[in-house]
Amino acid sequence: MSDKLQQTMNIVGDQTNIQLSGIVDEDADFSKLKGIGTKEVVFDFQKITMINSCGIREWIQSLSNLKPGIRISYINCPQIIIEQINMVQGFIPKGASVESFYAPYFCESCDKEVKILLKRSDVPQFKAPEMKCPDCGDTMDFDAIESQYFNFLKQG
Amino acid sequence: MGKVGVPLKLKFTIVILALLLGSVGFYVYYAIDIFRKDKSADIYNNSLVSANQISKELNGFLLNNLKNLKRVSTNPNIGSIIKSYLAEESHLFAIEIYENKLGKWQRTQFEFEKNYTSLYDKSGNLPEIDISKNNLLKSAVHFSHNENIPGWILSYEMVPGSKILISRVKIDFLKQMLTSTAELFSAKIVDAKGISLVSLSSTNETNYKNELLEFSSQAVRQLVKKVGDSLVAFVKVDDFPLIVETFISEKKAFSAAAELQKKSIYFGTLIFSLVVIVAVLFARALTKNIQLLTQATEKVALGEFETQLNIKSNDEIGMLAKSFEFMGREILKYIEEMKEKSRLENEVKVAQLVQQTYFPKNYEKIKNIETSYQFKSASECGGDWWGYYSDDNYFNFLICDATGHGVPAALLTATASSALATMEKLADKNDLGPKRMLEIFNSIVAELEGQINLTAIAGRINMSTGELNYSNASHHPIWIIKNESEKSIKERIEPLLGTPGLRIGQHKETQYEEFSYQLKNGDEILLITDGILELENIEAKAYGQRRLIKALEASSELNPSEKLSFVMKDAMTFSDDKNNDDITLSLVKWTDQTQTRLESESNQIHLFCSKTLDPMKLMPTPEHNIVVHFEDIQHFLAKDKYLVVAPSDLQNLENKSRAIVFSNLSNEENIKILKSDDVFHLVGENSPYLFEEINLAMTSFDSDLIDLMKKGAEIKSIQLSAGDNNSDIIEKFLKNFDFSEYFESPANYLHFMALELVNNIIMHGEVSKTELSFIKSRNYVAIRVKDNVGKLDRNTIVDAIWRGYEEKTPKQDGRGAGLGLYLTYSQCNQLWINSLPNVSTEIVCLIESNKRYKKYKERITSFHFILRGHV
Repeated sequence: MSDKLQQTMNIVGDQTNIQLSGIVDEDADFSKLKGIGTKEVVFDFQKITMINSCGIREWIQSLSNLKPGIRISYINCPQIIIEQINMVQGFIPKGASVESFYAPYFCESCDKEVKILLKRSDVPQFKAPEMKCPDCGDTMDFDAIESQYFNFLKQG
Repeated sequence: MGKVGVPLKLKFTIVILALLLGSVGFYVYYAIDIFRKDKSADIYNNSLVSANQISKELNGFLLNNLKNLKRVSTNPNIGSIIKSYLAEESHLFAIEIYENKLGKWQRTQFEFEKNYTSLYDKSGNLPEIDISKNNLLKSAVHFSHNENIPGWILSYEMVPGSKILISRVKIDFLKQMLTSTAELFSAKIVDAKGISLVSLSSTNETNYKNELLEFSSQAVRQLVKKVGDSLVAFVKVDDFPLIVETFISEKKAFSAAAELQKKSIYFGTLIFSLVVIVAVLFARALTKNIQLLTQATEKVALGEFETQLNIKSNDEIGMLAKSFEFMGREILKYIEEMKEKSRLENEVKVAQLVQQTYFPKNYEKIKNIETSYQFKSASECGGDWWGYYSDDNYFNFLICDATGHGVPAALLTATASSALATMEKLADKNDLGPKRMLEIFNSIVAELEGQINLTAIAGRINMSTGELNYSNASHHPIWIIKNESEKSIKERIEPLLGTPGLRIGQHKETQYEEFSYQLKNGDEILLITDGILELENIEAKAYGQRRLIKALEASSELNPSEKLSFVMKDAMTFSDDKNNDDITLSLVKWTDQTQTRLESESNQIHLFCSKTLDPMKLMPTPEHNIVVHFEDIQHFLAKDKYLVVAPSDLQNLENKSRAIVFSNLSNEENIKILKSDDVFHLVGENSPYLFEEINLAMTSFDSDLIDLMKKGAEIKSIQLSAGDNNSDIIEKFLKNFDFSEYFESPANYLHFMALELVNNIIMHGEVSKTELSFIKSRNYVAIRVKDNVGKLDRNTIVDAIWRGYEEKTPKQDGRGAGLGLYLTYSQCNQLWINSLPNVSTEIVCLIESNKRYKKYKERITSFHFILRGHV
């Protein structure tokens, strides 16, 4: 059961930072979220490896239990989370936003895929920013369909 | 050329005249209007001035005469003075004295002008005035109409009630007062009742009685107004109950304006006529030159480029004519140049055609050898060449690449062709091997002593044994593509390096080494010139070996001809269809005759496709043993065959379950098709393994999919049970496999899909155990789960996908979230469901071999539902 969802909560001033790791599935327990009393909560998805359809349901329900008025941000969202966000409604509740996320790039010269962490502000007009390969320095291709991949930025 | 509709000169004349008519007409109208307004004010003023003048003159005249009368009456010698007074005052015609004697007024003394009275009375007498009747004592001025002799009577009472002095004023004199204005105005002196007292006309009453009576009753002294079509002025006489009336008809008042208008029309007509004449003459002069130009263009159109125009004018038309003549001369010059260029181009084309005859057939099967080539020249003629000949047991070939390209290099390839043809003739007598072939070729080229060399490879295949002998003259090495389909192309390629010799033509005495290689059944020999490797794209990146290998990988299932065609297309797409060097690709496939198993025609699958589909996208390769027919879908109804249709054909198709929908629509649109139409097979148009899919769809009606996918694939399975941490187990299971030929995270997607399917079966279904298999072939990776219940039918599956697509939110109740199948369908490239009702349901989710995540996402997901025992 090593991959069960883990949640590490850290409160700094008016902000609660929650680092999530493992798999979000039907067994995920988000009951701790009810007690959050800060004005802002930041979810870090860096270590989330997967979220299945039941996990999506658990997640959406848990967010509805948060106290009204709390500002929600997502950071370090992996590609697989972004795909789920793009296909399912309600993953990002109204007023929440994805502040940073991973996006696939491909280096032709090295013939390899590189996941790049982008900030919301890096993607104006839903156009992927130009990125250089960390190994060879060549310009990499954005390796997804921009309009499809960045669709989630319209949510929240 | 067509006829002229409305001539230019007519247009020009009409425009000029319209402009002139408009401007003159406007000017005349405007001027007359101003003139009329000005005249109108003037006439009003003059009318009043005239009336006032008469009024003042009359008032002064009457006052003066009454004063004189008084003066005469006080003269002691009145008896003698009245005669002299009458003589002095020519406007008087009588002076009389009346006295009241015993109540009766009698004329006691009088003088009169007989000449005047005789004009009105034949006797010339002056009748007496009835003083009482005429009421002369009440008024100093009497305006009598009833007297025989017309005139006004002025009286002065010398002795009140008993003696009165009277003078009579000639009416003609009063009329003279009015004549001063008669030239323009008519005038009358009328009393307050409108009775005309003095008038030049015969009427005794004013024509404007109502207006006069109204004026008379008012306190105003003067008035001017328009009555009917006349202007009328009334002015009261200051000291007498008299009114001076002047009037003038509007016609007369504005006669000057009318005259001006009339003269303007005459003048305008004159100007108009002059302008018509001038405009016609000018337009004729202008259009004459244009007509000449038009005629000249018609001649040019007929090929008479030397047409001279003889237009002398120095205006724009003249310049145009000169330019036209110049253009004609230039065209002639250009035509001559074009003729020369065309002659040269034709010669190059002929050279190109001649060079094409040096090349063999694009595809040829000689016994157990299949050979094909692709050639793309950098210019009209190329410097690459490929050729071969065969005899009973040997297949001999030669590929060469002259340095540079164009005509000089092409001429050298002619030498190569001739050399091989000569060797073919010699072959019957001499046992020529590749080494000798190159040495002979080298000696021929070296004899030419040209600056151009060639790289070349000569080879010979023993068609019975598959032994390949070859010699290399500094050419790109032969690549053997081994017939080991379970391996990747990279692993299958073996370059035959050996020791290359000098270039052909470099040194006359060059000796070449010969090497040998044993081909196996189905092995292919790839020969290329360096043009493809050095091909550059717009960013100056070379196509290189890596892309060549990738293209070979992608086309590995195709036959030699299609394979080379695919690679060439891929390379030219990369370079945006531009190549600076000639490109030649040749492939020779050797098949071991002892192992060859020709498939009989009875095994061929006939696939019927709608005519609405693009045939280029549905070209099967020989490996698939599929014959494709394109027909109108109406003909499908009578046939029990496999049908491939476009989404738009569905509305006209009765039995949709037999159709394989070949869709170019998005996944979302395809979900709608699955929901609305009873479609069992939907294939994404961009499927890279289209015929494998179709083949599998058509052959899987009596077995599990996994059994059909076994060939050339690696399969591993695990058992999963309810209550286990299946997510963890699946993740660890997938870590055992190599995904290096894929984008970074196919394992994540397979993990997700496997977990969704397993959960559906063992957590939400009726069983507690299931088997999860992982399948990896050269073309794809897949996960497969199977239940032994067989309760899932097509509509249940499609409804679940549809629910996720439609709602896009998880269910709030129930065991599942209602999104799993929708997300699974969206994340795999092929979704297969193989159902044996009430026995088992097998689900396979497949991700195709692909390095690029973007391509994976662009792939339109294929859907296949196989109902065992049903086509």
